[in-house]
Amino acid sequence: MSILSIEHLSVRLKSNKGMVNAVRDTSFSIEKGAIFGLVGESGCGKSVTAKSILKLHNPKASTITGKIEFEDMSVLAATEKKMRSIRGEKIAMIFQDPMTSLDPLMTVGKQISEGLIFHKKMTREAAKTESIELMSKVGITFPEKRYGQYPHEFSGGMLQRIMIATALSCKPQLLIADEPTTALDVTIQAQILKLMKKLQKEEDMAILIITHDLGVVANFCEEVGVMYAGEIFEKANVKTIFECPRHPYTIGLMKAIPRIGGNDKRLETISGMPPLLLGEIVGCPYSPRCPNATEKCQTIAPELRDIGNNHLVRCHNLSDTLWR
Amino acid sequence: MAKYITKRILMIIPVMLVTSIIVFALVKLSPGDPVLNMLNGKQATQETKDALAAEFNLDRPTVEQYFIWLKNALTGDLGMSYKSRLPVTSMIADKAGITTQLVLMSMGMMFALSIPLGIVCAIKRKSVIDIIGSVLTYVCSASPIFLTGLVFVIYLTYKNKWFPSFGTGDSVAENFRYLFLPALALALNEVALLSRILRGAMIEALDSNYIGTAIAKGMPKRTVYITHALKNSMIPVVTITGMQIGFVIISSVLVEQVFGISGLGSLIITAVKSNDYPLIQGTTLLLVLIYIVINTIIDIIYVIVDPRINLEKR
Amino acid sequence: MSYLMKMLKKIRVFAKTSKIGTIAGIVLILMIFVAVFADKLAPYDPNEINLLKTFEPCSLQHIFGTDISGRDIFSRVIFGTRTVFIGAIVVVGISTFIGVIAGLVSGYFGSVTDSVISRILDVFSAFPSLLLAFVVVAAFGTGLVNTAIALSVVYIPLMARVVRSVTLGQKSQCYVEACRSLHYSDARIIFNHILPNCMPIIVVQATTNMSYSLLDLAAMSFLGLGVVPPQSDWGAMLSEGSKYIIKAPNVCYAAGVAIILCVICFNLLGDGLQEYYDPKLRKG
Repeated sequence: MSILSIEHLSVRLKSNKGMVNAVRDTSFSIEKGAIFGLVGESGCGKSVTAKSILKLHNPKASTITGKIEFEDMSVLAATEKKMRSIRGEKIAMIFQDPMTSLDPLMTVGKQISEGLIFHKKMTREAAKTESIELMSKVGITFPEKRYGQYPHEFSGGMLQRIMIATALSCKPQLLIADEPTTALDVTIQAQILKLMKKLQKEEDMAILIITHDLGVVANFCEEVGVMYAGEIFEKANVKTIFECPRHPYTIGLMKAIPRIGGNDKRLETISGMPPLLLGEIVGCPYSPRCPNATEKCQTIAPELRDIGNNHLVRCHNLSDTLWR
Repeated sequence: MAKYITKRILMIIPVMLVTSIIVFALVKLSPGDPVLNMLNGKQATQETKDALAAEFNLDRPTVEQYFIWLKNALTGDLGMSYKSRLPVTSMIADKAGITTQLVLMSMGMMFALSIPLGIVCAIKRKSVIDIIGSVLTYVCSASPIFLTGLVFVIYLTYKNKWFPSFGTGDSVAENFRYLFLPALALALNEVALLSRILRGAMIEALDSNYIGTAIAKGMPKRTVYITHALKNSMIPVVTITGMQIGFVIISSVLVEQVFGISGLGSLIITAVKSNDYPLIQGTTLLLVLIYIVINTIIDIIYVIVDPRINLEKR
Repeated sequence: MSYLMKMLKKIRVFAKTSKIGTIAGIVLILMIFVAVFADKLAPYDPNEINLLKTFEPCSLQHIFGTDISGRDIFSRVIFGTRTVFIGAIVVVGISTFIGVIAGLVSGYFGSVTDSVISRILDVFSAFPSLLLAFVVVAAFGTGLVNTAIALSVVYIPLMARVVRSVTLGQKSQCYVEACRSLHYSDARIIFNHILPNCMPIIVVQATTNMSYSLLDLAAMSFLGLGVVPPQSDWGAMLSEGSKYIIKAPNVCYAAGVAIILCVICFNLLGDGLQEYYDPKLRKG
């Protein structure tokens, strides 16, 4: 049963240089309690997609078409008031840089309680008790004392735990994590991911994780969607993506991962640059860089099709080379 | 924290001492004989002149004069005015009430006007309201206070008789009517600066990541704008306000001239024009003291309000 | 010659960044031009009294009319630019010169030097701007010179503080350490390296100080403590004109608009310079 379903989402954002097609055609769905990873290079549209789910874009500076359905409710048709009741309560989001994502002039405890007081109508004392419990659940020692401390008194890893506590406070159905570990040390990264996985099991909560780090994807996700130039190129479960990717771009990504104990060959790269998203793109956006590109690829944009086993690929010439 | 506060308060003393020396020295350095000044051209015998000199301690060595003056000042006796022969302290006390009311009224208006203006302009950035607000406040801040005051006098007291055009009433309550326009003129100058600072600070705050977090948490607009954004923007506003209070106090001098109010401001001007040195020294010392005390209070508030300030690094 | 080319290029970039700032700058340059060539541009002698032609309204002969003594208001406004610019330039010039040196020295050398200079600055800034001017005028008499010197003293801390904070920031940068290891003298580091980094804030603060000093000088003249009649000065004109403002507001309007225009131009120029120096502020 899917709680989030996105169909043919397109997001155009206003910029100094004109309208940018940040997301051109994205479709995927997330099951209840599943962990879905959205992977891709910087600028491919992952964060923009995530923000659209909560309708965080400025309506005056963006044009969004397509369908986003959360628990049978259309997000794009919802009023701002309805969205406010969903944000933080049914869908929660945590962001990339915990050091700047919290109000520096408010104690962390109050920031966790904020949501409880507003969404669950708790009293301040009840919210405080609940917040302290949440803080210890996410692994913060001496939570009673630390409740009254300010963000600048915590390290990055601890702040991200606080963000997680805040996100989980109202027991949402879906947690969107936008590059939650990018700003943290690798060791802390592992801790945070472990924590998130543990909490996810306990709360039976779905997670949409945005990342550019394939290592995080491998460790953490159940389903993966690979994005490029505002489109989903390939979507499958994590084992399939890593063991038999079919899209030339995904294969390029996998080849680029350095391996320990591999041959002493040069590291593989994908030559070229992602396309500018300012105007319309004719054909497949990856064709300038794709080793398998044909003339058809440059003129006709491929559709996303199911090649069996819920493995979706958007390509005219599926790569048959097993790259391992 | 307490250490810092104590240090700041103690620093007032040496600064005041040096200031008092400067004021005293400047007055003493002025050309001309104070006794002749006092007599103002009237004829007098040498005896009278000597008596006058003795009365005002002018026959003692300068350094001794300074210490006598200082000692008296610390006990509240700021000497005698040359011209009116009244104690300076009582002359000041007489006029202080009006000026205080004027300054307080204008500060109230300042905040009442600039905070909403700053918030609205920040939220509706680059809209018509923002542009009109910016232009109006720009012009108001470029206009010298006495000009705004004059404009008010013509249009609001003379042509329209909404407010009395000069003087003051007899009681505090009555004075609200008399002091309304002068206080407004004073306030308008500052509203430009304060609302622009608030606008800038709010825009910066609204662009921050923590506002994005608050919105993603589903917080209502009221919480986002006021509890989060405004609070984070108030710090520069508080600092600037503190810095501007001195300006407001001094500008009250100008406003008093335009509106014919006899407060501390007109006292100083009269003193300056008639070379009434004890009066000048007394009023200057008092004003500097008020200015320093207010700035120290603002500094202390700043440190208390912002938990991020690490005092050890100072 | 190449220095001139560099300056011209900077001005071109500035013009692109802030059109309003450029317009303000042009207006100010025009005003300076008027100040320099006032005697050629004014149709009448500003002090020429003509008691037969008092309070004339605006006409082709007298663009702004005449005042209580029959003097041509337009000519008085033109000559007023001289006191404005001379006064403001003196005040800002002196205070910038001393303030920059004080800021650089106290920021760079730190410890005792910094404490001493900062305490001195504290004393100067203990005086709200006009108050010291009052005392100086009381002691030494009225006039533009005395007022300007008093104001300069009070403005020194405004410049010194900002320069000091930039210097403190620069001092901890790597390039300063690199210079030291090459045995550069302190003076060379300060003047060849740190000072250029302070130029943006110096220019912006100096422009701001120009508009403050304009207002302060006008205030002093308004109170009768600065420029004395019969010299043409906008502040003095306002003071005089206020006495008969109901009957003939021309004087007040003319002088008032002139002051407002000048101050707005300095403020806009200052804003434009800020945008030019700090790319983050461009285009909001």
